[in-house]
Amino acid sequence: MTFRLLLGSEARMGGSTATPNGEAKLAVEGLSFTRSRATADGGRSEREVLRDVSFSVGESEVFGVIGPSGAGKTTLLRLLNGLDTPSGGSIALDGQDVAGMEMTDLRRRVGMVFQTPALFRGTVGTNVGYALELDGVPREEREGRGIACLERAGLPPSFWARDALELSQGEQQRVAFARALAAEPEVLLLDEPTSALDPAAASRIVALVGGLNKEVGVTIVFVTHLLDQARQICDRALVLIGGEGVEEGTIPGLFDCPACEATRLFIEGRLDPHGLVGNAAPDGPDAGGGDR
Amino acid sequence: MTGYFELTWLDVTISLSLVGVLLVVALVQRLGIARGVFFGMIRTFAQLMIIGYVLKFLFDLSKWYWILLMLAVMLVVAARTAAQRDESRQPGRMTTAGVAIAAGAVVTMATVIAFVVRIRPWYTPEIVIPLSGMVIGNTMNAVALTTTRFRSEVSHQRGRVEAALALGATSSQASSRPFREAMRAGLIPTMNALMVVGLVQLPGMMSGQIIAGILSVQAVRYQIVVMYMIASGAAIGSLVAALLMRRQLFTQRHQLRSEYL
Repeated sequence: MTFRLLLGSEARMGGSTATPNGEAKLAVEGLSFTRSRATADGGRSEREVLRDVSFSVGESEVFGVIGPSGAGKTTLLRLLNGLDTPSGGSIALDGQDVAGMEMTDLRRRVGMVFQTPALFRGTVGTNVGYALELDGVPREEREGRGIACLERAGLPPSFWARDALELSQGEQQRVAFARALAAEPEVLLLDEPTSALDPAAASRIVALVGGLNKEVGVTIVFVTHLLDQARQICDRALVLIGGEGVEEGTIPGLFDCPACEATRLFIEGRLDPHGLVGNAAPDGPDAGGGDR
Repeated sequence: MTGYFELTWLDVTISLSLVGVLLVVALVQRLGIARGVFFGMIRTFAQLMIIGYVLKFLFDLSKWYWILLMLAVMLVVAARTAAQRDESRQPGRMTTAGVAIAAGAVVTMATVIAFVVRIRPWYTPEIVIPLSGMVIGNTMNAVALTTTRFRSEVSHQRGRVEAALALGATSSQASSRPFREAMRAGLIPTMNALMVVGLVQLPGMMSGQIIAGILSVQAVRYQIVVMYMIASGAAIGSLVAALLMRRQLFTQRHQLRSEYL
């Protein structure tokens, strides 16, 4: 029996209206993505990574996207940030379809922090200042505003002049947060930001995310495969397995009484990495090959 | 002719023994290139013999359309060679290389013909063909280095490029560093040539004239012009190649086309 059969009619999908705060900040409807690659023989191979995913995120909410590795979580965030174009479905920000938006404007409104910090060569100031420069902040104002962003990300002003690539991984990830915050995004997409960190640094980042949401009011979409992190900071979450959104709901609802069998198996750690149960053969969207 | 050391076919045949050394080394060490060496040897002989007759034919006819056809053939061969060095699966590599090489060669040659050598007619084959050949050959190397380096830089720095895009940078802002690195890589051989010309290696054009016993101030002047032409062709070719690569590696919506990396 495959995973898809398990979904059955039990799946409790919130659709685009299930935000507790009324109007959705971010509404995703029927989102699909097929990755196309050129093959060695000059042809093309296609792989469906996401299929018909719908959910909505309320204003100032911390929304989790949880699921096993290879479920399509990173791909979902890349679509929200506009780094890839969906094959089908729609994404709306404040009710406006992003397909018609200028991409650079969208990305300043919807920022993203990646699994690895991907800092630019140069100082911390170069990194944070770059985002401010893109945002049109005059040169003389950049250091002041940049340092405020550093402090918001939990780093002291003395870090401004330090070589970004000589910092620890945890510090680098904080610089990546400061860089993303510099554009003053309305939504911040976080792609497993603790995955490359030791447990202590990871817990500091998790605390930072919670604090940012409370202090700045930024809407956060937090991707993780770590259930404890989701439980700790998310208000609601989407469970993404094998490229499909199987269930959306509040954290207590999902963790304590999941409506979907696949969610229950995932939460209990009994779902195999491909979103399949037992030794069943895959026939759903190909979930292999990592999150990309 | 005084000072002219004539080569007979026997002399040329004796020089074959030099390639024979390479062939023996390739076979003994099992380098797997013996076949290539053998055919390379044959091709060198055949190509130079044929081109000798073709050039004689062109020089005798001196018709503009034959000259243009010859230049077009040189351009296509150069574009193909540059595209073959790029091992990606991106379609249109040969067109990119061809446009970039043509841009560098045409702008440079037009300037030289119109303002430097001021030949009449403009297609005088004795001038146009050897000078175009040198510009096209050097521009080809610059273009091949630029395109392969651009792709590898974007590939290696993919995380940074996408981090910049995610912050709202345009594709040209996000790829500015790979762009610069690629152009620098494309122009380094030309820069080196400008620095050491005459000190380490005498350029082919001058060497030929020295051996033929006709080295003169004129030859030196021509060589200086040639060096500047090579620099101009490489710079324009490298810039056009980098601009075209950037257009191809990113979508209009500032997304990286990772399938081409």
